[in-house]
This record gives sequence, structure tokens and C-alpha cells, in this order.
Amino acid sequence: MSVLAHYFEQEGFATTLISLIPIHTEKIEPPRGLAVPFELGRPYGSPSDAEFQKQVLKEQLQLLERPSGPVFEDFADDAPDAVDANWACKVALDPPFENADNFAGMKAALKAELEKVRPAYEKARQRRGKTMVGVSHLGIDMAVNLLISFIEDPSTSAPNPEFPLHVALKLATEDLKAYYAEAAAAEGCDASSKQIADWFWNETTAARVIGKLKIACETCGKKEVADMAWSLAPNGRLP
Amino acid sequence: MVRMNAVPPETAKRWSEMEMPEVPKGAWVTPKPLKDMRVAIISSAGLHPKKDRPFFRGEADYRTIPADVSRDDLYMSHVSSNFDRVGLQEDINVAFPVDRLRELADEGFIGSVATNHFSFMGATDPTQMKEKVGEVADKLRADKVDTLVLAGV
Repeated sequence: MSVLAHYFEQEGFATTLISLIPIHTEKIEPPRGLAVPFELGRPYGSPSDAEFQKQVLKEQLQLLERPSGPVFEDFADDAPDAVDANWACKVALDPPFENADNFAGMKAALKAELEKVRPAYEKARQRRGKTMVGVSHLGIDMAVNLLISFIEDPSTSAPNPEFPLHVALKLATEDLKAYYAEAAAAEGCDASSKQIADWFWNETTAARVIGKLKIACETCGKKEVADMAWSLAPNGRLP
Repeated sequence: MVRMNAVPPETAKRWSEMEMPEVPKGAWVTPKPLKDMRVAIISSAGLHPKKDRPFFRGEADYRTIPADVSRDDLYMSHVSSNFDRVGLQEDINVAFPVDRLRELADEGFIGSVATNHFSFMGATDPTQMKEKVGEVADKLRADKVDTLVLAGV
């Protein structure tokens, strides 16, 4: 984003940016930047505190009042913590299916798990009045079917001609992860991102299937699919 | 800042060793007073209206997001899995402060909000985006925008 700040300033626009990785911002020296102490993905701090978001945005805009630059300042406050330290996901699931050599069993376990997650997902969608699941344009059941089909047969073709296979697999995986993450917050947003990620990656068969998918992508012999495999899971969550 | 002790050691190492792109520095636009600014948001979160094609890996193009976008009309197709999505799923403003910006205009803190905001996919080499930045700049000028809030993830 710091590079774009220079480009837009050259185009004649005054810019002010939020920096989540100050060691990079310091090197690129955009005209104006506000370093914030929040986790990646949350430049305005908290999803449950509009006043706090507004305070961050105001301080970002106020950098435009400095007479000269580059300006690089710190936002002083941590994001308000609305997290329940004892949070446990209320979606009751069977233990994850661990036998990676029995994919027929894993597939059945995933389908059964999805049925247990579905009511919580629908509840979350109703509570929020929105969902971010659907980016694959497949619907969750077809997205899951695509992942399963590819693991079983890497010659599977992409279901939508507009999306090459590596894109379809990536987006279907994003939909599966988002479906579970939204379901986990059905009752409210009182879990940290780490609590929800720990639940998903440690306690669900869906995560085991993504592990199988990653291996299938890496070994399928299709360069674009193999090159995408790293992006299926956060660093450190899969071998 | 992102606390380096909260980041996995291999990620912190990768960040500190990452080569930064060469970019001409020093451009400085003297801003208008806050109360007179017309402001757009530029996001690098790979956000887009649901009808638009998702971002593909390495894509330097942008998507246009109407300032009055419905909260149920945004997808995110950033390629990286290494940042939080849970916050965005709960409230888009945690990364794309569209409602907060509108409130600041209603309160008179800024002058007005642009007709459209714009989104890039931040995992792409930003030096590949220069041409598209020019296209976005033309659209912003046509909308009389003078100030940009850049929101990375």
C-alpha cells in the first residue's frame, strides 16, 4: 500500500495510509502513515466497536494537517478486547476424521459435519444480515464436491469456464473456511480470530480435507495448481 | 504496530528480509482543509461487489465499490490466508471503513465522500499496478475526489 501511496500522490491526490507492518512502511516512506497495533486483516482495530474504528480513521485523516512530511506516527491504543477467554465453539461436532488413508470415510465424515455446521451458518447469516461465503460462485455443497472430486481424481475439470481450475479450487476452499468461521460466530462475535482458527484447524474434518487437498494440489502435475497450494492454509497450520 | 512476538518467527523473518520495490519518493500534495476534502477509500484487501469476478493470483487490476454498497454485497478474494477474515465477516468497516467515512462526512469532519471506492489485491507486486493506478486516478478526478484513505490489511 505504501507504493500505491507514492503513485497516487504523483497523480495529484493527498494520501494517508494505515500501516500494519511498520518495518515495511519505514523503508518505502509513503507521504503519510499511521502505524496501528492491530492484527493483520483489522486495520481499524475492532469489528464490534464503531467508535473505536472512527477514532482510528480520524487520526489517519488528521495526518493530512501536518505541514510537511513524510509523516509516520503511531496510534497509541490497543483494540478494545471483546473476547471471551474461555470461548468454545457452540457447534457440536464429532472428533475430526484422522485416517488420511481412508478418504471414503473422510468424505462421509465431511458431509455429515457440514450438516451439523449448516444451522449455525444460517443463524450467523441471519444475525449479521450478510455473508461473505459464495466467492467461488458454486454454493457450499458444490464447492465441497469440487474439492472432493479433485482429491479423488486430479483430472477433474473446473466447473465454471470463467475460473481456471487453480482459481476454482482456491475459491472453493475459501468458501469452506468462511462457512465454518461464520458458523462459529453464530451467537455473536466474542471469539478472537485465533480461537476460531484453532477450532477450525484442530477440531474439524474440513481442515483434514484441506490438508489432503493441499497434498493433491502439490502432486497433481499441474504447475498452476501446485503453485497455488501454499495459499490454501495460513502458515504453520498444515505440513 | 503488528507485535513481532505475536507473529510466527518464520513470518517475522520473511518480513524483515523481504526486498522492497523501488519507487520514486518525494511527491507531496498539499491537502485541502479536512472540512473541504472529498475522500475515497483505496483498499488492498481484494474486496469486490459480488457480481464482479474475483481477483486471480498476481492480478494488478482493481475493482470499483460504490460508496453506498450494501453490507451483504461484498466478497473478498485476496490470495493470502495469512490475515484475519473473522473481523471482516463480522463488520466490513474493520478493514474498509465505508460507514465510518460516511459518518465523518455527515458530522462535517470531512467535506464529502466519493461516489466510488476502489480495491486492489495486495499480494500482487505493487509496481505492476502503476498503470491501473492511472486509470483509477482518472475516475477519481472525474468525481472531484482530492484525498485518499489507503487501507491495507
